[in-house]
Amino acid sequence: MLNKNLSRFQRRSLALFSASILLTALITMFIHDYFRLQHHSTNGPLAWTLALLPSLPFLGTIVLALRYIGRERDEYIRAQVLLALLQGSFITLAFTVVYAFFENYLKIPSAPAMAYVDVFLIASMIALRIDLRSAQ
Amino acid sequence: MICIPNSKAGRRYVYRLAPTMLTYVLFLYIAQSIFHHHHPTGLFAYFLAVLPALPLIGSLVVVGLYVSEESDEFERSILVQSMIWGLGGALSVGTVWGFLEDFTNAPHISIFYVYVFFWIFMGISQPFIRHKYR
Amino acid sequence: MKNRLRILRAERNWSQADLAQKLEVSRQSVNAIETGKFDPSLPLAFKLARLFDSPIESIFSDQE
Repeated sequence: MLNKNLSRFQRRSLALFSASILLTALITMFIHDYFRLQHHSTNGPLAWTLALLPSLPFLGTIVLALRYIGRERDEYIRAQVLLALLQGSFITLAFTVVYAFFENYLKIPSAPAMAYVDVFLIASMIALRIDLRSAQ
Repeated sequence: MICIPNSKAGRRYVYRLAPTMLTYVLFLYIAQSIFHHHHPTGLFAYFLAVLPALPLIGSLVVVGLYVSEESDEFERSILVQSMIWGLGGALSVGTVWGFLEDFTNAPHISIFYVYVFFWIFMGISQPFIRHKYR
Repeated sequence: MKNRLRILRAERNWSQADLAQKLEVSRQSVNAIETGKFDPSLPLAFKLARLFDSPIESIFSDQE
């Protein structure tokens, strides 16, 4: 329904974005727990560099989303995607704030780093689906 | 320094934001003192924990209303771009620091800072975005 | 988009701030449109056309 008339740019962007998200999902599933179990509390510049490597696909996903917005020529689709990203942002920030207070007062465990980007992406994608469907 | 905007929607935004933030301070004080002195549990504890978060979510709603009510489309475009940069910056900082916390000895900072960095990046990005259009 | 806003403004001796006030937008918006860095929406373009009593095509040009 929505995927029939994608332009070449949109198709390519979608593929790139999906690959990036898949990479972040794999990292969340495999690398995170592996390192946690090892109880590595290392320090020093090498450790910090190694720690930052898994975060790159998460940052890359955000960068891809921003690049897409900058380059999409179809203004209607761009406006819809932008609206969905803003709605996703709102949900993510609301979740962050509520979780922060729960963590502070009710001592629930802290959320892993990947949760932030995941929540944002999931919320944005759901918002985009709803926006596009309700606009038809 | 963010000065009071000239447009009607801008002024309405500031006049809505101020009481929202005052409510936040009030609710924070209430929650903090009750938790400190009475140590509540159960449903009441959850309600009390969420109380200060509500005006903060309200502040996000106020910004959202500003975006939708701003009639000057150029200003709205600047605002939306700064919000996107705000979120991008906040998520990046949160993600990177979260990874450093998990894998190295980086100290734990509250997830609340994601919200703080959103406002910081949103404010800092505005002059750069405006400069693009000079 | 290229446009003749600066010329039309000069003919009537309006500053950017004057034009902004008549259009109910900010001065930065007028500057961004004049320099071609920002394209106005249709409603704003029609407002400009009515203000200068000219068709939109005579104010704006999308030819390089």
